[in-house]
Amino acid sequence: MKLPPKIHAWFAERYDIGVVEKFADEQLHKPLPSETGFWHTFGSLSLFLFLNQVVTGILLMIYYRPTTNTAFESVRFIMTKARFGWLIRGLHAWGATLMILCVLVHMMRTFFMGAYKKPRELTWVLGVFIFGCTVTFGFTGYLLPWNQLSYWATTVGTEITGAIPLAGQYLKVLLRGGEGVTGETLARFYVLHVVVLPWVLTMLIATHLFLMRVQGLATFERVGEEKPIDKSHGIPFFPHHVLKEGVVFSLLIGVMVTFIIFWPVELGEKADPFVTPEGIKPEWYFLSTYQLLKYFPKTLGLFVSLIPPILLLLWPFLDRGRERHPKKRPVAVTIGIVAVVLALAFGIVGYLSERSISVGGHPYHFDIYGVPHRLPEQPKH
Amino acid sequence: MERSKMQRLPQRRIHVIAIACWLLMATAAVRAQSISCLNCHTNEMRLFSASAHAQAGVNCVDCHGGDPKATDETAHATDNFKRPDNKKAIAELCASCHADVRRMNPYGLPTDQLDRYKTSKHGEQLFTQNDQKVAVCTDCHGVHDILKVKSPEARVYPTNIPQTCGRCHGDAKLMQEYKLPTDIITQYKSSYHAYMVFEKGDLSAPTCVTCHGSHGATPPGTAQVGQVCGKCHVRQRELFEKSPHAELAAAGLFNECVSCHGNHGIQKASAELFATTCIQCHAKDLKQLQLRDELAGLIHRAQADYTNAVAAVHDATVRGLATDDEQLLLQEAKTQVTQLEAMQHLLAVDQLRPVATRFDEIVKQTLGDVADLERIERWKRNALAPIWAFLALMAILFWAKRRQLEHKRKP
Amino acid sequence: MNDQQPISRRTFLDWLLAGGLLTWAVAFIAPVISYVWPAQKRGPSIQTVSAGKADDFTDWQTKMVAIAGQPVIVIRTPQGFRAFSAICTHLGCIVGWDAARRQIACPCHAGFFDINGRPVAGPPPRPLSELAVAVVNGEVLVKSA
Repeated sequence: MKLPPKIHAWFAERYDIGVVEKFADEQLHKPLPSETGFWHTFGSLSLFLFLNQVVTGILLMIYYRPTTNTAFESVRFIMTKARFGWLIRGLHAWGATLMILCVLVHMMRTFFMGAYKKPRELTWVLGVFIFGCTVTFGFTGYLLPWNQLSYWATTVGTEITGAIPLAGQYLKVLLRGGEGVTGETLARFYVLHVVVLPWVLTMLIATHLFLMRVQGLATFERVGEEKPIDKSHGIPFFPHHVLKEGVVFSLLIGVMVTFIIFWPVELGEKADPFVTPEGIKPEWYFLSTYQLLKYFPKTLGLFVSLIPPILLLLWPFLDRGRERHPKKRPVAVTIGIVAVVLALAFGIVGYLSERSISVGGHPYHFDIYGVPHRLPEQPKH
Repeated sequence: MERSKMQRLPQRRIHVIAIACWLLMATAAVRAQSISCLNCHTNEMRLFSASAHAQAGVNCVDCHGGDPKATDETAHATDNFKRPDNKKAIAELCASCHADVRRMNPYGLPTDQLDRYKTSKHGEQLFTQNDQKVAVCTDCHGVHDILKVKSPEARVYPTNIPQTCGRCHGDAKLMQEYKLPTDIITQYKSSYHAYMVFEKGDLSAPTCVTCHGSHGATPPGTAQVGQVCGKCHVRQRELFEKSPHAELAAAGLFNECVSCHGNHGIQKASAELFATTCIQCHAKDLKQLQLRDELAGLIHRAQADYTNAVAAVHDATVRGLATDDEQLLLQEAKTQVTQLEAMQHLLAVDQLRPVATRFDEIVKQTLGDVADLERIERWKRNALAPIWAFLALMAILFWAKRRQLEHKRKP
Repeated sequence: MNDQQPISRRTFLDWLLAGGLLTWAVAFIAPVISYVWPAQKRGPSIQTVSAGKADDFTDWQTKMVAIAGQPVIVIRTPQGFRAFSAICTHLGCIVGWDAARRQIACPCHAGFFDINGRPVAGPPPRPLSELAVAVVNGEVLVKSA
């Protein structure tokens, strides 16, 4: 896109726009490795979803009121009175889930393709922090509608922080703004969710993107044997790769709108500190950790649950192999698959625990550890 | 000099203390108006000191007479000494103050207790038959430990009434002598009225005295049951008076409320009453039973419809649909249903039908509105088709453009 | 000729793309503008409802209004306007106005409330909760708690 000549001249007489133009041109048409395919779109999908969260979040803030007397009612207002409020809220709530999913897929893609290896270790480390930030966004945002689910899930979640040895109780009180989950908690979570975390995540993402751009996307070449990509061999970022991302983007929008309409986010019942609903569980992205913690006593559980994030963080420094292609890294790939399977398994067990379902006509109840017990048949009257 | 003073001070102090004590006791005695009774009757004194009479400045002599200054049995030897040994005498002794208007005026107490008592079953038995087994003032109020009715420890405080009445009316052997039912107290304890008093703490709910009266305690006759229940259940009584059963009640053939609801063991009115009570008289009367079924059916349907409507609106609210108007409609529906439940005492289906119809209209409108909200949700689902079509088109366009660019690069 | 065909095809695709992207942009922005435009005169925080013009009420005339799905009875007394929750404190029926007795009456069990909302006869245990009323520019406004 070129500026009209008169405007271009006006700027050229005052600023050295040549530098800006050259930079823009380089970035736009930057050649990407020719293997860059479908799996590489999850990074930008995550970025797009973050932007979606920011925009819909700002829109929600116009009508949302963060006090215990008004939070629930303001969400109700958004869903029932504000035009398209249901859509904005739906985009924000489903956007959160999809963002976490996309970030996870992006992480797995990066892992299995060995892109975290030298020289991109820091990019990976930043990415782990980005993931942590995203999940914290989810945790703090979940309380804001102030319904029964929010309130009790937050109670359970903050209770777990109390298990941290020594600092735990202080951390819990700091987080909650008191002994229990109250309007103070709501205010603190709101500030975190709406001001602190957005800035932190923006800076993390900016740095992550900057490093990615500066170093270029990884290929399957071995560490130390990477060749720079020139224009004749690479794919220009714009418009070629962007068009491919456009296809995936269209799919994502379709998926989001479908979820919003078929599985609308419900309003729920206003938080009641005196009534604990049955089977309170955290959101899906916490289910595997939640279930894992049940099998260990408090402090030990905390340490065990810290192992995956620490492993993730240190992984580029632990895996010094020079191969990137998954077929040539059986150990790393196996460990990766095992981790994913374990996370899924714990997550599923976490979902089933404290739940009764019927299998083949017989009722079963899964206890807190996920062990199924066959319930006695109800006598027929 | 110093030392001798110091030696004498403690002694002087003891003397001072002793005199002070004696003065205190004396003033206590003066407060008790210099009566010597407490020298021997310490138990009674203990009970009496916390009583309402003591607070009012009444003392032993005011009731018993005697010589307050004598310190031995000669105190009892005076002419005016009273030790009521039969219940009639007790009643008259209490009435000697409590029926005296001028004396009771400053305390704001009623003065018709003895008159009322003489009309009660207890009073009748006592004054006409000299039956010493009936209750008299002291049996219910206590003797020396009488407290104000308002005081929660008083024997006649609402929560203590069943126990007080139960001392005789719960004594099976005693009740059999009079051919009175022996299980009244147990029945009452199982009743909804008792639940209101004891568990919900609602002291406006009835105890024995609320329905039977206190001093004039009499079981209400068949013609009066409605009046008694109607003191609180105003609307139901109004409606009953317009029903076909009212004439029967006036003629003494139908025990108004008690016939269907019972008396002492009364439970919360529910659908079961329709099944159990009508057949007591109308067992062979098919026409009346049909009317009953119509009436009962109308009300049950309304109740079930109301419950369903509440659930439907609640579900919609929890989902996040706009249900303000529907909740208002539910309020109206509730008014109609509650009216229906009271109106069944009319026993006239025709009169209930308009209310039931209005109710049905409201419920229909409510559910219709909720369905309309659903329609919007359906509309959203239908909108997905064109949305996906557009997105698919855009995806194809992006893909086509990319292919085109690739062909351009590598012709 | 050969030059013209590829050019027109490319332009056609470009036009389609441009049109599609524009439609897409509008489809995003239109709901946002609709959302941001105030949905009702007063937002989610204040619940104020108009009961009509003050002049439409004669003394002792009443009107029922709804605030947040709850019925409210508005009464004009010689001393001014009063508004009470119209839900009877006994079993929740909607109360009405008994003009003859100048009291608020509940049709279900003959409960009566005086002009201050206090129960004077029948089973209701508690007074009706009162709502603030103000006459602003000749309009009767009722404010929820």
